[in-house]
This record gives sequence, structure tokens and C-alpha cells, in this order.
Amino acid sequence: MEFWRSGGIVAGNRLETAVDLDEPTDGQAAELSELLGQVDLAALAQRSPLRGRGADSYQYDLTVDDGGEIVHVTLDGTEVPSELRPVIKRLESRAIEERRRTP
Amino acid sequence: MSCSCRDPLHCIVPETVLRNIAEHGDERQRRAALKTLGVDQTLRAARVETGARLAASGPPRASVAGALSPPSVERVVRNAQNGMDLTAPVVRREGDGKTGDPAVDEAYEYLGDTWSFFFEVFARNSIDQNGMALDAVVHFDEDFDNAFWNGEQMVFGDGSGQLFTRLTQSLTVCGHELGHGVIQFDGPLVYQRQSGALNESIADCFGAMVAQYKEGQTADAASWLIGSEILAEGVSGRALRDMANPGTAFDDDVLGKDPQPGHMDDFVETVQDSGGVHINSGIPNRAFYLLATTLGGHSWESAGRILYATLGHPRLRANSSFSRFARINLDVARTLYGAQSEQVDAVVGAWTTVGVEL
Repeated sequence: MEFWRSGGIVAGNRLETAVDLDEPTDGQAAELSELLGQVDLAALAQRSPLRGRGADSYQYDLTVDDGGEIVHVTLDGTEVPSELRPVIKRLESRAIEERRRTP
Repeated sequence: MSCSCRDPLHCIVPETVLRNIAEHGDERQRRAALKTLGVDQTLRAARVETGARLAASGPPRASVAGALSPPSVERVVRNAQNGMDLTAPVVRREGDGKTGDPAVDEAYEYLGDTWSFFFEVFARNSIDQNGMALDAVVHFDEDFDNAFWNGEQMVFGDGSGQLFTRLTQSLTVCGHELGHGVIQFDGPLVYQRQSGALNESIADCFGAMVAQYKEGQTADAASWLIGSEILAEGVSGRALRDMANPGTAFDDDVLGKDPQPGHMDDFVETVQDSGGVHINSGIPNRAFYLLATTLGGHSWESAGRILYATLGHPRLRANSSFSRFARINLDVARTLYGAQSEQVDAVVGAWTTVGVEL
């Protein structure tokens, strides 16, 4: 799974991270996999890009390799469905932590 | 008429004298006269502004009756308590006293400043020209390093303390967000690629003008920085954006280097950020800065009037490019000030300097 966050009120405040959902040594992989199981990504992908009405909200791009089938979703921060929100929050936190650790 | 008061309008002044001051006084006197005259002056200013837009572009989109209705600012501020519920309870309504919560009270004050700018300068009654309530949500989410306009409300985070601090601290940010609402009603400008970058730039122009107007600053004395108040300690930078010098606002280990170009030669093609709307807005930002400083005086008087009339122009399409916008800019300047005016020369110079074809 690959995650990008762009947009917001300032250019440059970008986040990105990647997660191997099958990696047993990745402590977050199992939790993210379980949370993703509650989201109908295929349905979201069909409606993608989900654009909001306003301005300056974040733009999220999510690409998931679902058993060889690649699913990509682009959505405005104001259009994140409630079941996807925990996934986004964890990915943001992961990306911020990686950014902090990167020299 | 003589008056021993320090403020010449604090004395009992006849309405006819107030009207004369509103028409011929300096900026401070005009603002005071506008406030004192209230509805009557709003009607006069609305007729002047409507006339200017009519002269520049034809019939206004909003109803003239709406523009002439008595002004009434209405503010509501909600506290999301670090959740994401945008229908959170209202904690401060129009006329309520300070709450003691800095985010609530800052949002309330700056919404009022922004409303007052649009009303006193452009005779515009709120976002929709018809007294739409200004609805702000503060304390949105946790460690939220952002503020946004969702089509109906302005939403402010508290910042993480790592990148940004409380975003309600910035009048330019508040004016920017409310400016998006004005653009939504007067444009629209689709929030993608060049039209989206214009949307972003015009919001920055409004934010800058609101702050300058509150302080009575001239264009050459202003900082032209957006969001200078909210960078966290330790962040290497001066602001979110520098309209005078795009690309120089920050250079930070975490934020990276400010990616804004100031010339079309450096236009950024990207799919991120809705096609780079916060990146390429640097180009029209610099054009507006050049226009305002070339003309001198206060930015809202000529440069702001040209910008505002361009936004309301019927030839401005939802997917307008920088070039189309610049051409309408030029037509508006010709209509308002004459083909041989310094304003026309300044518009040509500004857009040419940033590499936008007219």
C-alpha cells in the first residue's frame, strides 16, 4: 500500500509512506490490513477522484495492491468516509514519524 | 467646520458633512465616515461599486437588491474540541463577549475584520453579498496543521506545535479562507491547475489586503507574507508564502523548500495538490504585488479594485488560465481608468514581468 498526502494551506507539507501489508515484522501492517478490510476500496476507486467543494483541504492518494489487482483512490480530505478515516490517521502518523527520523 | 476632538468624526457631525468626508476625505476619514453613516453610506458605496463593476463588465451576477440590503455581520464560532464534527456546538455568537479561549476569540475578531474589509472597501455584505453568516470551526482534529474552507465553513486546526501553531492567530489566513468563499460565489474558479492557482492567489490577495487594511498600511510598507504568525518555533522560515518573493518563504528540514515559482518559466506541472494550486499561485501573487507597489498607496484602492472587478467579470470562466485572467485584468483597468492610464501600464508591466502572455 502506498500513501501520499498533498495540498493543505501550504505547498510542500507533503507526506508519503508505504506499507507491506503482508510483512510480519511491521507492527502496523496487521492493524492496517484489518482496518482496510472494513472499507470498500473498489467502490471508492470507481468514484475517484472524490473532490470537495472548498479549498485548502488535504488531498489523499491511496494505492493498494489487492492480490495483484491495483486499486487507486484520490480523495479530498472533506470526502473521506468514516470507515476510511482510521486508516488515513494511522498512515499520516506513520508518515510523520518517518519524516522525523529521516536525516 | 472645526472640531477640537482628536478624532474629527467623534463630534456630532451632520450627515451631509459625513457624506462629503466619505467622498473626499483621506482613507482614515473615509472609513470612519462609512461606519458612522451606516446603512445610508452602504447604499451609496454599493451604488458606486455596482457602477464600477457594471462599467467594467456589464450586469452584476448577484442581485443589486441584495447588494443594497442593510448590512448585518453575523458570526458563529464552533468548538470541535479536537474532534472532526463540523456541526459542533456554537460557543460564540454575534454580539457575545470574549470567551477567554484564544482560538475562539481570534476567529471571531478576524472574521469581523474580514467582513468589515469587504463591506467598507467593496460594499459587499458577506461572502454571498446577502449577509451570509460567517461560520467558523476551531480546535478541529488533533495536531491539525491546516485550515480550510469546505464550501460553507472556515475550519481551523490548532497545529501540531512541530510545524504550525494555532492557525486562528493569523489574520491573513482567516482572510484567505473567507476569500475562498467570496471566490466561490463570484467566480467560480475550478480548484484545479491554473484556475485553481488563480483561486488560491486571489484568496491570498484578499488575505493580504485585509491585514493591510486593518493596519492602514501602504503597499510598499506591507510585508506581503501569508501566515507569518503560525510557524512553530524551530521551523526555518518566515511564513507560509511570500507574495513579493515567491519561493523564499521557508527552507526547512521537514517542510522542505518553498516550491512556489514567481515566473511562468518555472511553472510546475504536477498532479499533486490539485495540480499545484498552492505552488503556481506564486506567479499571480507576484503579479498582484507588482501591480500594487507600482501604483503605490494602499493595495485595495486601485490594484484591489481591478482584482475584484476581474473576479466578478462575466468573461472569467471557471477554467480560466493565467493569460485569460490577465487579459480581463487589462480590460477592467482600461474601463475603470482609461486606456492611457498608469493603471493600465502597471497591469501590463506586472503580468509581463511574471511571464504571463496578455
